[in-house]
Amino acid sequence: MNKDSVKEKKLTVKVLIENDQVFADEYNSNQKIQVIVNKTLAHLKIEAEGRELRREDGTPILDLNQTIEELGVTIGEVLRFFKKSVKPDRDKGFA
Amino acid sequence: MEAHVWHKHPSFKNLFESEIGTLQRGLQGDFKLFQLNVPGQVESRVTALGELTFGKKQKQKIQITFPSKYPIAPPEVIACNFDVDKIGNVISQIQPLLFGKGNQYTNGKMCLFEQKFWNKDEHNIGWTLRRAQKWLVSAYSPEGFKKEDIVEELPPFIGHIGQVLIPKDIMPAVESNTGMFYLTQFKPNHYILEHNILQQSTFSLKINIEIFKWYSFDKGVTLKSLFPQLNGDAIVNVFKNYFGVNIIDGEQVKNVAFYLPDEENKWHFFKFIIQHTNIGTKINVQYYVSHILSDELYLRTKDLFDDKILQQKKVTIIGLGAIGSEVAKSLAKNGVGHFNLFDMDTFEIGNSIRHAADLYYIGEKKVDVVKQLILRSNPNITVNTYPIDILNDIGLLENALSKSDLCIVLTAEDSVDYLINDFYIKNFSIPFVFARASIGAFSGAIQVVDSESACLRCLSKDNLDFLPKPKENVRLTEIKPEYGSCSSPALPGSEIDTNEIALQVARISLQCLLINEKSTYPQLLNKQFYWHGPYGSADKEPFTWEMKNLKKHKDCKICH
Repeated sequence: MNKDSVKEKKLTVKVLIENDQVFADEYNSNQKIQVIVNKTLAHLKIEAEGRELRREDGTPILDLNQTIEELGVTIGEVLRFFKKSVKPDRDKGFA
Repeated sequence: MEAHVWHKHPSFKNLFESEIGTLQRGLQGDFKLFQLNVPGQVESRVTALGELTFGKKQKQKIQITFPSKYPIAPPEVIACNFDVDKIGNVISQIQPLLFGKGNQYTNGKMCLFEQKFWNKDEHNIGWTLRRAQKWLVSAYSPEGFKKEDIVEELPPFIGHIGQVLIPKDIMPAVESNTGMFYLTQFKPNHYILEHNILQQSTFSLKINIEIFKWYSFDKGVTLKSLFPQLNGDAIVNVFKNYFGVNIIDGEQVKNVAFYLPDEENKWHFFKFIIQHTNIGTKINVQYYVSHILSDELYLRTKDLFDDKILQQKKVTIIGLGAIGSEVAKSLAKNGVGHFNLFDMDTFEIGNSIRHAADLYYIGEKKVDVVKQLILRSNPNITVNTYPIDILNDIGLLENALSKSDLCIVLTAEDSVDYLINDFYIKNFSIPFVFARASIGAFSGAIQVVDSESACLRCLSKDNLDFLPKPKENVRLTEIKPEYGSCSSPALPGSEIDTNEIALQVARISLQCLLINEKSTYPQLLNKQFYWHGPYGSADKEPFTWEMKNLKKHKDCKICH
């Protein structure tokens, strides 16, 4: 593998969370998804608990040990790392 | 303030880029974006035209619209037909594609999930398009959507321009396959079938009476089998083949109703407008969807409660002012089937600010005004009106009470209340509900009385037939008597307080009517209720209801 082909495998991935906060960084495609999660948590100063990482088509990413390439993340893709809502903020009613 | 639209709002900048990026990147090869419209003007919405791949590499052109308040509301996806040139420019009009298999709105919008299912943090355009792929697989399959996947009922396959209300289920005469309906038009494109169905006319304001000729079809015939394509030729053929009628003869507008016994909605109404021109005959079709009121009015409560129970109940109401009119309307809306209404007064301008009726009704007897309100809530109700002074009545009240399940006394006149209390309660084994608001409508009281309970005299002996006194000492200037019977002075908002009392009277009355039925609400017979109003009273906070359960007084001459 030459230097150029390694370069080609770098891609920018964005992670979007609530309140329109986003964290973008450049990764090697052989890096694990866990790295994206760790960097996002650190950069946005958030906790992982209660969050779920999803692809841009809503598919949950359950195996964080797979690499970016294995998952098939595309260039520019925005992953979503929102808090899972455990219960509605208030009781349902009608008016 | 500038209109809030998500694509212009700084709080959604990253979300906007992410959603548009998802469309541009193409959903991992499953979506091809042809045209994206991100309007500069705030009045417009972000839309996209593209092609979605679904199932076994099938493709469907779609239109995506982001609502102005995205992501609070979900994006809309419409399956449609349009042409694109070699480089992907849209070069034709966009035609929505209707599949006729349910889960789709009449404008072609896919019904992808229940509105409440949408979660702005969890879901996005990519997720929506994945749902749309599944939707398209079902829509293109011969069997359509699975029962458990249906979110929205099957919409009518013909768009309607109006409605026909049918008070109760009717079947055509067995011996004939055709006949006449006289429909009352009560507003443009809206009709009600009153003739031969209702005792009383529902809408006093009528535009027209129109005759519709009905035709009955055999079992197994559906609207769709009659009209695979709803066009002039199909209409001519249906009339010729089924009834031997040449529809294009005679009048230029044919009002027609079809009875299709196997359809869920059995009655279908049409106007066929026939135009003879040099190049042939053209038939323009106007469709009116029908509704059977007795089936649909209580759909929301039917599963929990048999609406026929209240349909059988008979209620007498004496006094149809601010409280009485609202009580009558509420009981009618809740399904009570028979009313006797007593009030000698005429509805005047001063009444209108606190009454259930409005200025349209001035100059009419209050009994007739409330009758109209009741019938407009449910045309199947029967209403007897008595515009008389019950203090000068010979037998009409007794006759009404003998056929009633409940009497509600809302005159706030001591003479009437004590007449009823002293002479009628013992003789009629039904509950009586008395209610009144204080002058100024600062407070109110409701008493439920029957032969077993404390009567108004018992309560007086205990000083408990009272209206709570407001904490504040509010002075009210007397209004000239010529302003009418309901012109007692009051503060702005007093209509809200009389309504508060009226709604509780209606609730209590319903409970009294359901005393022998299984009910999830508590029994309220023999109770007294006090409304402490916007100022509260000496020992009660504002806006509180107090309930008491006082017994007969040992010295009451009426009870002993």
